[in-house]
Amino acid sequence: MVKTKTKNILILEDDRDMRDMYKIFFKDQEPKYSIDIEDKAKEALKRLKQKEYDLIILDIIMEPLPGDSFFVYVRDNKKTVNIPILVVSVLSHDALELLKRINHVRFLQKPITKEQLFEEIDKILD
Amino acid sequence: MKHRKTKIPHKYPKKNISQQHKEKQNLQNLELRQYRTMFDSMADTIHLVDTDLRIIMVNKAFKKWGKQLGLDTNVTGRKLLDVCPFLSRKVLDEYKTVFRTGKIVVTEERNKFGDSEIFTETRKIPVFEENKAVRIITIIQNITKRKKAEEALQKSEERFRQVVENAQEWIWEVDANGLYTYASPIGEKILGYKPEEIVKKKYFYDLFQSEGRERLKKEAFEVFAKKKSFREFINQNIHKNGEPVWLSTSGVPLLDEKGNLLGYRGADTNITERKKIEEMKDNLIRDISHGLKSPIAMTEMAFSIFQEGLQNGNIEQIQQAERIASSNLRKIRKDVNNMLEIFTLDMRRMIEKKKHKISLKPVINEIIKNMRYLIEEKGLKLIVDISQGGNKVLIGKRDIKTLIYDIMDNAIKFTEHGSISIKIRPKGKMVRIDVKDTGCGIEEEHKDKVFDKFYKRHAAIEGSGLGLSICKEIVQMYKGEIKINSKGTGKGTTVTVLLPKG
Repeated sequence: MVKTKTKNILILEDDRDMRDMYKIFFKDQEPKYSIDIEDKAKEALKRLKQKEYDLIILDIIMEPLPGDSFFVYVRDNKKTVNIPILVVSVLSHDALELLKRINHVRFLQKPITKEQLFEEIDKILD
Repeated sequence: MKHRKTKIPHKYPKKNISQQHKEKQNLQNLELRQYRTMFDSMADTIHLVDTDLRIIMVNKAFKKWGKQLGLDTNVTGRKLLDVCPFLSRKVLDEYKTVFRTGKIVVTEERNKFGDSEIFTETRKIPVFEENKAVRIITIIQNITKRKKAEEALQKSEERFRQVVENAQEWIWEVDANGLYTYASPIGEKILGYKPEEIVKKKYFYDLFQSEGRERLKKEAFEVFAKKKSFREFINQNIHKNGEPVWLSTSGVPLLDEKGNLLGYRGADTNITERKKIEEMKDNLIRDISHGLKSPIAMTEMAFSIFQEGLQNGNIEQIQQAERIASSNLRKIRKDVNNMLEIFTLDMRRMIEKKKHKISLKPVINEIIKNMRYLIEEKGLKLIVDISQGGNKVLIGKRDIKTLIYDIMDNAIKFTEHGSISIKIRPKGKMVRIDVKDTGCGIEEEHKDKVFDKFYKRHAAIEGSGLGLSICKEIVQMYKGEIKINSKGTGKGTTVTVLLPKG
């Protein structure tokens, strides 16, 4: 059996508590997953230019570069257009109607458990 | 009757007069009797005087009137001024004028008798003999009812005019084509147009916002065609200055006797504020749900990692969970408190505020003690300069705490690096409190907005957006001032509060 390659995940989250939560969730997931966490869209965009990612996790409301414009950037850029995106938000899927039409986007509504998160990640990455 | 008969000849002695005079006298008496019969049947008081203003005759109504006023009713042959001592110089002059000119004088009087006010119209009519005015018939008509009715009408017209001109509603009339034929002055306040800029110059649909104008126009003329009255027709108009104005219009058709439509008359209420409040309410509901949803979700998640930590004996994770839970519970508590605060402030403003002389130092020290962990958590430096204060301010105890807590909390929230400082200084009759931070600052154009209810620079900012609006309400309640200053984005913010010295 071939050893699975480490999956790189970029997390964009402006809430400090949620960032801590991701750190706890992913703590024992190395080497299967490797995460980079950013709190500002600008920094996350820099990361995207430097590194290949397998998945982006973000909350949809992000300022000052709004989350949806980050979204637009990612989907408009050849290099990133095919990176799957997981939106983890308190907003319901219905509220995010517009984003649903975009390919490679899945949703989780907060609160989430560790199990729910990884079940979803596995679904996306398999 | 008998008494009267004997009395009249007494005033006109028969002795020593010629036959010619006698005949004349008879004629006069006949004339008088005719007068009397006629006069007695009249409701107006009538008296007849000679050139000496001696009363020759009065009618029944005069006697009745005199009785009511407590005057002597035995008046014939007496001087008018003796009977009615209240008559003014002016009245006597009027008699003279009538005798002199031979012209009727009509006057109106306002008489006060005790509590009652009586309006009269007096006609002084000369009676001629050989082209000379020798007697005057005075007819006094009680016009109190008419006068009162006129006054009431005038008052009600005035009231109506005032109502129309001062009403919050804009009153208008249009013809059957929708052209304004009347516009009350309030229209200028609501739409920016003076009545003369509207009447005969604008059709009602000219003021509609261009988007949707045709639809509204069509709807309006459908109502016109039915000649029906309408209520609360909501339409968006454009103020002369270009701002949108929401109006709620009600109107009734004006029809001629054949039932043809002449036009409509109605009133417009400016509901722009109401619309804004509705919008704010929608935002509030969205903000509450979003503002609370997130920390509630985080608290729930903290509990699940807490349980996992317990199962694995992972102390670090348990501590993390505890921190996240308590930080989010604090956010929930703050949001809920702020909501309650803002909704009860209006009510509390009605109740007379109990002001106390409150020392700022202990209050600030207590708040700092409670907030220290928030400041340290972010690695910020706290600079406290309150020793020069020693000042007391006139304010409610709970309000000063809310005020300083909210300002400090705001400063901490928007500062990632550097320091938060609080300083108090006396300033004339006021005490000045400065809370300065080295945080994200604020753009010039947003400075005024920060005190608006539910203002947030962007939706992602946690909290209800109520903090500073509550501060402003409190400061205004105690006749103080609050200002926000910033040199711009990233250059920190200073909130300055002035409160009356205690």
